[in-house]
Amino acid sequence: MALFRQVLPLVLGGLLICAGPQRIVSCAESHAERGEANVAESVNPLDFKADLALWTAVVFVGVLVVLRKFAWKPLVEALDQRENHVRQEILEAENANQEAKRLLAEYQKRMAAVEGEVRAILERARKDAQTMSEELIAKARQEAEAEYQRKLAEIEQAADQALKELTQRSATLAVELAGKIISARLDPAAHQRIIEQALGSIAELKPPKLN
Amino acid sequence: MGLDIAVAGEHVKDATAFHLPFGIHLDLPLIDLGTIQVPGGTFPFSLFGAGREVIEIPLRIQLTKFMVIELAVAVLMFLIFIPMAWHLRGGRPPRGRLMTFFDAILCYIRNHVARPAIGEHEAGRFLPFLWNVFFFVLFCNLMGLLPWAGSPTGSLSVTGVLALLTFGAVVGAGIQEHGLLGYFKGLVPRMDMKGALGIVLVIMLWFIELAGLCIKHAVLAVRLMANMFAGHLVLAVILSFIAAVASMWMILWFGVTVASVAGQVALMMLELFVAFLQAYIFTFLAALFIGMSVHQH
Repeated sequence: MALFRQVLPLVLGGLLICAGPQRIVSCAESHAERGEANVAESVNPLDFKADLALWTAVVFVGVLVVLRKFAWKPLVEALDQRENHVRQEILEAENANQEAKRLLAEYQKRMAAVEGEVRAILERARKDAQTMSEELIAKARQEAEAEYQRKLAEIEQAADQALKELTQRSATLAVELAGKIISARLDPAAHQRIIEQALGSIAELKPPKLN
Repeated sequence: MGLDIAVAGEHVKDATAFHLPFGIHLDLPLIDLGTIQVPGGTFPFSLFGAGREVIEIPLRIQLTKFMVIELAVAVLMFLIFIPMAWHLRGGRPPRGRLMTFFDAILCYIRNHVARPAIGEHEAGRFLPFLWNVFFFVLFCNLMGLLPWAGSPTGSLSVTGVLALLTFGAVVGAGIQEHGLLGYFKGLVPRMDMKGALGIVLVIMLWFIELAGLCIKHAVLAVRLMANMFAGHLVLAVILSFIAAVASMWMILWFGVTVASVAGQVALMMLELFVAFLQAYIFTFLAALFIGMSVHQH
């Protein structure tokens, strides 16, 4: 505070010169003497009291000197620091915001790519599932067909067998029946021949198809 | 009892006693520290006691109301701003309503008065002075709104000194910036005028500028004093209407009392505004003058 160290003596000296020690005393004395008598004195706002002026200068400069050291300078620094801090914070916030925006765009791009990928995977899975199910259905149908054919063959075989047995038994029965009818006139050799002839003719017969 | 402006004025002026209710007068003491003697040649006293061998300087001062109030203002400023500076150190934000209130004012003077007027970089150097002026004037103004106190700023002795100190700060800032010669030469802007006429004009302009500089600061003192004095005088006069009609009819006295108190309330609010406004104007103009002397053209 070189400024005030220069100016203060000037001002105080000036005041002393203006007021003068004698005037300070005379002011003080007249104050004391007049007491209540000055009530009647007219109101003059321009009257200058050197003692009050000097007092004001001392009080004001005293306050300035004390507060300069303990309040004003620390406050100037504190406000500057606060301002810098706020400016810094705003700058950082702006940077963070831009960074966040960049990241968001990047992630959105990545997300879009991933989405496409996912869609492709799903599509492929759906296609796979479709082909697999079609294959399964075809296989099942094939198997069913094969099973059917096998069962059909079995049935045919069984029917064949049954027919053969039926033929045999009916031939035997017929021969027995015929033998009983004509047993008296047929010798065993002729009997045997007739049976063989009958068997041969039956064997030539084909069982009818089932379907 | 008639209406006497002088009686009303007594309550606005400085006094050697506090007049409290119930006729209590708190008389302020005369401080007498004896006299000191200095040799006749000592500056600046030699200017008065020319020729005398020994000059006696009496250290006597009659305490007045305004002196006590100024001391109260000083204590108030210490109590508010020293703890506040401690709280706000390192750029911390203010806490509490009172601190936020003062913080807002400090920041306003810094950002909207000092910086535009003086400049971003130089403002910090003059902020202590501007803050000190603002709060000293403001608190002195506001003291006038307290019962039984008064506004020291309603006295030319106080505002004159404040203006003189501002003048010192303005000229000191200019000298610090441009040098003693540079500052006083710079009062007149550089002009392209040749010949004797040019020189005469520049010299005349220099004196006009110098007078203007002094007048600006004198007006600073008068403006503040007149505002505070007039406002308080009007308050006192309106209040004294009650006393003026006290001995007349009851109904008249009642009517005047109601009107007078209502007027007081309204004017008090105006005074509250004026207290802030005048402190602001004083500070604003001081900043402007400092700015003009730091940046001369």
